[in-house]
Amino acid sequence: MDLLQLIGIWVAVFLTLMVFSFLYKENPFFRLAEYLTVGLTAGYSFAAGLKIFANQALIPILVDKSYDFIIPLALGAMFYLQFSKKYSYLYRFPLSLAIGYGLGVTVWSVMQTYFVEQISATIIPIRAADPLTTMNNLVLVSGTVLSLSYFLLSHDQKGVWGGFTRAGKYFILIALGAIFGSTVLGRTALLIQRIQFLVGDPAFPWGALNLGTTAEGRLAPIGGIFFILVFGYYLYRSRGR
Amino acid sequence: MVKLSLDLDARTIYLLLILVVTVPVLSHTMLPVPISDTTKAVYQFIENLAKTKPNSLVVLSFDYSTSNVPELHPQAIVVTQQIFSLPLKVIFVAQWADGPSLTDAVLDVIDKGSKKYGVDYATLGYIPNVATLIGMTTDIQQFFPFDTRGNPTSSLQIIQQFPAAKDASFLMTFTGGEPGLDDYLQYWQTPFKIPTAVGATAISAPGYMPFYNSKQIVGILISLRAAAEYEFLTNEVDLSGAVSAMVAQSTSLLLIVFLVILGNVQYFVRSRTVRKGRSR
Repeated sequence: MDLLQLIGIWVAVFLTLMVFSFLYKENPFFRLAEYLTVGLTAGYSFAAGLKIFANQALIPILVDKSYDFIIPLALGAMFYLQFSKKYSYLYRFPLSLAIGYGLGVTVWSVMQTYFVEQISATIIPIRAADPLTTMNNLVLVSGTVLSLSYFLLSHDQKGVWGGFTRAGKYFILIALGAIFGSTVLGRTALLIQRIQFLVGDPAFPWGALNLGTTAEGRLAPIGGIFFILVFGYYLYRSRGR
Repeated sequence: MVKLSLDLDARTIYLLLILVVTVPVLSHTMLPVPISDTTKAVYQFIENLAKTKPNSLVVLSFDYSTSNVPELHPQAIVVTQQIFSLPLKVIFVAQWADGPSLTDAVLDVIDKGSKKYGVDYATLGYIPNVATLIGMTTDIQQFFPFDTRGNPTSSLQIIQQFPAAKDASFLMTFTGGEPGLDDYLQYWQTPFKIPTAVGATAISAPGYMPFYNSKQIVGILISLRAAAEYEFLTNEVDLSGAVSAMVAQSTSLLLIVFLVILGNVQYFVRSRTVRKGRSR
């Protein structure tokens, strides 16, 4: 059994419970966990970015002598000239290039992916051999048309037209209900895996998360007991405040 | 007169939820899970690809961070295991900075059989921007001079065999949001018609359904449940721990449904009481 790995598991248990402690009440343990998350994420992203910069810019120039990489590197550096009063106008050149390039590659693919393909998918014969497919097609086409009608706000939503838009509203509400249901499903999945971790469940993917072995994982609850003692002492000391 | 007083402290609900999750987890009960069409579609596509185009290239993209691990990591484990058991070549990439380390964590636990690094699979690492995502479709080496292990990609047999990502016969992204499926749809699937599938969190899945209906993607794995379904399909039950979690998932959802119904009953009873009070 690797003691360092075990300490790592206990630290992870302690941090998990520091976050969970917010469910009881706002406290310094939760705040510390929050700051740690923000700091670690920022640090990790910075290090990952730096590695990419070294691999894609510095090594090709300094090691492989590919000097053509200097041009994009210089253009990238020009973005920082916006902080200079004298040369700030220069940052417009890489910005224009980025906008032009971005629009060029995006417009066509967005139109094709989100409009052409999606609209073509709704142009379907409603009647199919299978009655269930017919029903699906009917819901798909009427749902699309009626939901879109709800957003035509230039006409008063009254009379027959009002009926259409009301039906569209119900389709949107059903979709929102489905999204809410999915959100609950996702959130419970997060809770379940945290509980599996906290109780040292052998089914938890210890190895697949670089958290040691199943045997080490079984000792995870010790970290939990330690947190409960520390948090209990904090609550005792802060009572009445 | 019916009188309901259900002004529960939120902490009571949290405690109930933790209880209904912990008890099934500790009891280690497993239940069979019905397989959904969206999951079956992904499984079937990969199996057919291995039969019809053996040794073709698959790209797996780990586009999630540690906060999405409970939902997406089990999916990544079971799909990667299936691909490693078939005659297919794999390139691993990631549009999220955490992705490369999560890729290594998956590769540490799966059975790689006779697959060799550099020949059958390679880990290219983090795709930092759209320019790289687009560029690698035509030239991988230019945009990834090195793999995550520090080898020049020009020395990898798999890259020599498939120098451009557009040569891929299948792409799967395990995505926790943006960047993720949308970028692949715009820059890989639409222009090069690379068959694409997505492993999604439950929150994003409804947003991806239109792409499934329009056949722009071949299938969707939805949250932890899809990983459990996949474990049954591949006969690798509890490889990722997803099947074990299903009973707890059912009990927690039942509790939430019960609380929603109870809340609604209380709302209607209270509204009726208020209406009656006004009419007196």
